[in-house]
Parts: sequence; structure tokens; C-alpha cells
Amino acid sequence: MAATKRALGLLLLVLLSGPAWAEDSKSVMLKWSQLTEDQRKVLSPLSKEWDTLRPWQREKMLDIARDYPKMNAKQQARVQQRLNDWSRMTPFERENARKKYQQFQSLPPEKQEELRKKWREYQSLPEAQREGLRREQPDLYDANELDN
Amino acid sequence: MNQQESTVKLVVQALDASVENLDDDVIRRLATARERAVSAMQPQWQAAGHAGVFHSLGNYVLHHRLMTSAALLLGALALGFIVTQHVIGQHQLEQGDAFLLGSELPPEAYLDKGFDTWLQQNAR
Repeated sequence: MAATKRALGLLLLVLLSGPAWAEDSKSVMLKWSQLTEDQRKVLSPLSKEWDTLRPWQREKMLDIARDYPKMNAKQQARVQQRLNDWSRMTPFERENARKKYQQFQSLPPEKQEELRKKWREYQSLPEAQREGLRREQPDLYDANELDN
Repeated sequence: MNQQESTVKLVVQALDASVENLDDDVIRRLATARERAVSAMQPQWQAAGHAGVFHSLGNYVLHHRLMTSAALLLGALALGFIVTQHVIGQHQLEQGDAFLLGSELPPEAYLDKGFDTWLQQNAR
């Protein structure tokens, strides 16, 4: 009886997740010309370099295209504007940004607004001063990690 | 009317004629027996109305233990899968890269070491 239950559970898991694996591995190999109209529209800043992206990079970008319709017009505009730089970041930088974004999301709204305000103030500083501030921070990243 | 229907009609007429010719004593005994039979059946019908469904269900479960266990297991797995998908979906809705890129604070803000230094200096 127990063996039958285990077998049934395993079978169900395979049935439910099997098509998803197949779909994922298929979708990340898609060429630019094979993307849907909607995906091409969202990922248009990457049109020239799409076919050179690695499968895992394409997968992440397709995730962005999937979530894009759930966003408001302002957010969508920012995504389009930042997509190119984002695709050129190293996996380490992106992972670091994700972690800090999650920390930011967990802050209370007033703290989040304060940080946004501080960022705007920081942006208004002269580039030379910002460069000086960057040099003050010891390099926490290992060069090998940045090459990942 | 065909031959078969005519025969049936003749049989019914013969039976009706026989009933009319029965003794009063026989008719009384038949009526008493009918009443007894009806009153004996009544408690069973009432019980069936209240508990019949549960009784039938219990019998079904007893006789189909393996199928019932499998159905319960599949149901629990399906429910677990739906709940997990829902939770993951909610998580992805707020944590996906798209939302990071679409937020007011750009990704550079999280990576700019100068911004970190500047925040620390201003906090002092």
C-alpha cells in the first residue's frame, strides 16, 4: 500500500513537472526571430545581441518579458530603459542587486522613500566626488567572482 | 390491437372478476396483511432517508480502500501543488528581475559602492 502511494506520488510529480522542464529547455534556446511579437516588443533593446546571449541569460530575459504586462506604464518604461545595462552586468552583480533589492523591499515605506531621496541627492553630486566616495570603499568583490 | 395485447386484456378481466367474487373474510385478511407489510417497511424508509447516504458511502470506502487512498493522496498532492504554485507566483510577482528593473531605485543604486559610503557618512 505504501509503495503504491509513493509510486503514485512520484508519477504525479513527473507528470506535472515534466512538461515544464521540456518547455524551459526549449524556450531558452529560442532565437530572436522565434520570439513572439509581445516578447520582441518588450526585449527590443536586446534585439541585436539576443542570439549571442547564453541560455540562462535568455531565460532570465524571457522571465522579464513574462512579468512585463503585470507592470504599470512607468515601470514598463524603466524596464525598457535599463534592460541593456542589466544584460551587460555580470551574474555576480545581478545577484548582488537582487539581494539588495529584496532587503530594500523589506524596509518600511518611509525608509524606502528616504533611500530614494538619498539616491537622488547622491546623483546630484559631481562625478569626481562620487568617484572619490567609490574609492573609499574597500573592494569587496573578488576579481574571479566578477568574471563569472 | 395485436394478439398479445388482447390476451393481456382478457387476463386482467378474468382477475378483476375473480377479485369481485372473493369472500369478505379473504378480503379482510388481505387488507390486514397489506397494512402490516406497509408498517413494517416504514422505519426502514425513514432510516434510509437520514443515514442511507452515509451508510452507502461507508460501504463504498470499505470495499474500495485502495482506490480511496489513491484518490485522497492525489487530491492532497494536487492541493499542495496548487498552493505551492500560488505562493511561488506571489513571490515572483514581487521579486522578479522585471520588478527590480521597474522600481524607482535603479539596479546601479544597489551596486554603487560610492552610494554606500555616502550613506554611511551621512548616517554618522
